[in-house]
Amino acid sequence: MIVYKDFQYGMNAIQKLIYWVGAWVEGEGSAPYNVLVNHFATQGVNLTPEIMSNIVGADSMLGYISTNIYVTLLNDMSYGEKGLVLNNWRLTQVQWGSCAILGSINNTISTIPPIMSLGDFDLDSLFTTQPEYGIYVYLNNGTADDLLSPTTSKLLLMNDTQSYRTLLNPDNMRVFYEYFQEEDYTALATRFNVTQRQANMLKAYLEQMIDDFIMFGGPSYEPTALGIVTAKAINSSYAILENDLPIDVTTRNLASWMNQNGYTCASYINLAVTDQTQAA
Amino acid sequence: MDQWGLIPGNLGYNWERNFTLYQFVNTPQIGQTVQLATSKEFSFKVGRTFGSPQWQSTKSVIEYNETYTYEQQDLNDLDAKYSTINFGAYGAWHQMVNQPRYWLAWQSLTTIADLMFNSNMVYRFMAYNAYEYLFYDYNLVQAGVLGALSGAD
Repeated sequence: MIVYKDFQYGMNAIQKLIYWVGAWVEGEGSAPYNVLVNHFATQGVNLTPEIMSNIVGADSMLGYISTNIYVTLLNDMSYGEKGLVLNNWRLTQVQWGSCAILGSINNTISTIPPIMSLGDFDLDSLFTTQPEYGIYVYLNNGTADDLLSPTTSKLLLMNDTQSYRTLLNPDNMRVFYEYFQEEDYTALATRFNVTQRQANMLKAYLEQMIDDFIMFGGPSYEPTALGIVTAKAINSSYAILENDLPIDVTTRNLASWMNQNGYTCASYINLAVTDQTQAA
Repeated sequence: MDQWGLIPGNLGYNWERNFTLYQFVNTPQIGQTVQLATSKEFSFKVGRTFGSPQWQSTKSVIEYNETYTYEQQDLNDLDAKYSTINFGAYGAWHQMVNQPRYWLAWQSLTTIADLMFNSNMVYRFMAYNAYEYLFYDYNLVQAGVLGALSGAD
């Protein structure tokens, strides 16, 4: 009961089960594995390797459930890449464009209803809204044609700011807005690989996200203008205090000590030479 | 042994932060110049401690509580009130008025992409399935997973 209901690392909530999943994925001796063992040792519960094997081993229930999902994702050619390990960035792109990772019944254990959005998990306050383009399409009467294919999702959310297509580059985003303003859907299709309907939906989605993520308590709300200036000044002070102050204090103490003892820089060289001579 | 980074710590670091507030002395109308006056200087002695370090495996970071304490040196004027700029509101207003929409869209999308990538989505997804499949029920878990432990454990 202690292990099941533990406040921090128990099993009776999704956000706590993540640690056990981590122990299964990363294996015996990994950080999450050790955290669990050490934590429960302090609670008087000895999680021996045998017991842990029952919980997060290859033949455990958690292993059975997780293996199914892991292998399904790994072998799903619909998102374009098959490999030995999951490509998290690729999964993120596909989930963003169509919700096809969390929302597909192929990826869940049978009888478990798929969920659509990372924002649906309600695990913590990470997302205050549903962040994917795909869920925006579903919620705004879009059709399957409005969703982005894995190929297009990869182009638009490419983690390479040198790409002339990724919307993670501000200049590309500027071009997207300019083409949209000019209603140049041919240019939008050529550069961003989106249909007219997708371009309209994407533009509306971005405007919605501006409201959700910048204005109304989104997770990375940043005060700007004078607020940023103030923050920079404070951060700069912190940097000086945290990085420079210890070195400064050390240097001053050292200099004082050398001065007090009549040492010079040559004293250190002499000492080093002497030490090496003695070592030899 | 002293812990690194504590202030004052065993070495007795003395860190003071001084604040001066700028207060409106008029209520400016459009076209009028804002007039500001500086307050007296408020001096605080700053302390820093670290507590509850915990390894967060899913993020590969150590999370800890970093606590700053501010001890006011001069206890006069504790109830004095000053009118000054609301930086947060001003910043939001400035951004919405002066930043082009594409810039705001880019900021939003990069934030979303970053958060999604760092959200341990697959771990969460597996945990969701595991919970819905079995782990929601203590009796099932005790029978199928924790059988080697006593019921109390």
